[in-house]
Amino acid sequence: MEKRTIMISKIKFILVLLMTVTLSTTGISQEQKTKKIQPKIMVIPYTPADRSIADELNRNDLSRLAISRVKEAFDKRNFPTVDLNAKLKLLQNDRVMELENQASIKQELIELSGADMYIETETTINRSNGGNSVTIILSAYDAFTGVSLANKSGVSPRFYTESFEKLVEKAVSEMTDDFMNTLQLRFDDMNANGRMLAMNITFSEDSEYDMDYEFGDLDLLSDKIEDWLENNSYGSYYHIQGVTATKMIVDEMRVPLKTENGKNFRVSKFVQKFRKYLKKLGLDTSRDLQGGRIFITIQ
Amino acid sequence: MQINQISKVTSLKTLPLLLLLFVSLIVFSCKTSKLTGETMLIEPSPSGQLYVLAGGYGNMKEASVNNAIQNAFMNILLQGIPESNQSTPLLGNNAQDVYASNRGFFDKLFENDIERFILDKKVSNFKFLNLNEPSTNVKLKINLNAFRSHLEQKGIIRAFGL
Repeated sequence: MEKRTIMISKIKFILVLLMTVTLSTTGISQEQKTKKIQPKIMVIPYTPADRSIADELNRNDLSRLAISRVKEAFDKRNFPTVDLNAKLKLLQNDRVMELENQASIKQELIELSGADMYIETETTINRSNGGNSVTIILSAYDAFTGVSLANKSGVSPRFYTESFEKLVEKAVSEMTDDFMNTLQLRFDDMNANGRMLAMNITFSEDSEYDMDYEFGDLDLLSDKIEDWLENNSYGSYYHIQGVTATKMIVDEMRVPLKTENGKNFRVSKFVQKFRKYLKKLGLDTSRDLQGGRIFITIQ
Repeated sequence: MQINQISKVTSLKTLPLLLLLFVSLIVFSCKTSKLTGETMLIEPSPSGQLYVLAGGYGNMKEASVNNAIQNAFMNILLQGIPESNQSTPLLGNNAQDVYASNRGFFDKLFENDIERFILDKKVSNFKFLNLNEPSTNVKLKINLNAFRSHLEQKGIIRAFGL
């Protein structure tokens, strides 16, 4: 009789154990089902102030080659990039071409391409009596915050040659692995500490509020916003570039990649939550979203 | 019969001595192998490869070569090789933790599979001087791409991206 009781309790224990394992496995597979949204990366040429990206691509063969090699390196790691040429063609008759300032064109192109990150590729020819070489500089930036993510420079060996294409290929080939490793460390950091967003908060022209508006508890509107940022940014990580009566620029704040239930974190939800908070304070708002850049206008 | 008894007594007397000798041999050979940072880049390599020189410790040639190979891979995993295609740790920001939590996998890898990721191997003359100097130097051309892919497939590191 006693043996039977022991057997039953053993079976019960095994059943509970099996159920726990099954439940935890289901939990993991649910988590794995929601794949992380990967950032879009675009490789562009470095352009001097007086030259457009399209001009640089047309005139500089080496730059085109370097871009192509960098893109190949990403492809090899199963990470497709946004095609610059395709985007340029798409935007050819768009407002980008109407802009006169080259820096603005670059910024517009990055914004309209939908890229989250861009990699600038600079190629320079070095001529000397001891032979010719090329210098390659790769710089990766966050498209929304402008934060530098990875940098790598490399010089090809010197050869008595005018075939600079070979030198570019060699230099790029020797540096892409390490450049991507540095970028991966940044991705790891984002996984651990959240991704970056930027937010501009302004007022409509006829708004009766400003950042110095004082609430009943003597807090200014800017204080209220900062309190919210402190409570809602990932690990309370945010940086305010500046506050004036009419504007607050948050040039960097962190949000998680995934929500608590394993779903991808949506910036629109984050904005929705912020707008609800402002509404509770009695403020009507409108918003614009460009990838990781948020524009809030208080009415 | 008497001779048999004498030999039995002798072997019983020498047994502890032999055992002591055996144990000290094992201890000595274990102590001679060690993990160090003595891995240097020989020359820049094309994408996906690494050409390094690693020092190996050991009083036997085979042991010292194995030690050099292990040293090279351990440095790639945990420290990275300066000025190379892999100047940062292959296991990422928390390399030591990742290694410690997958110790069984790596022990098995070094025991059976590591040769798969070696494209070329040149062993210099073996010379055992003392415990503080490498007894051999090994030039290794490593298939970094394949090694990285293997670690990704086994879930040790994440694929490129978030």
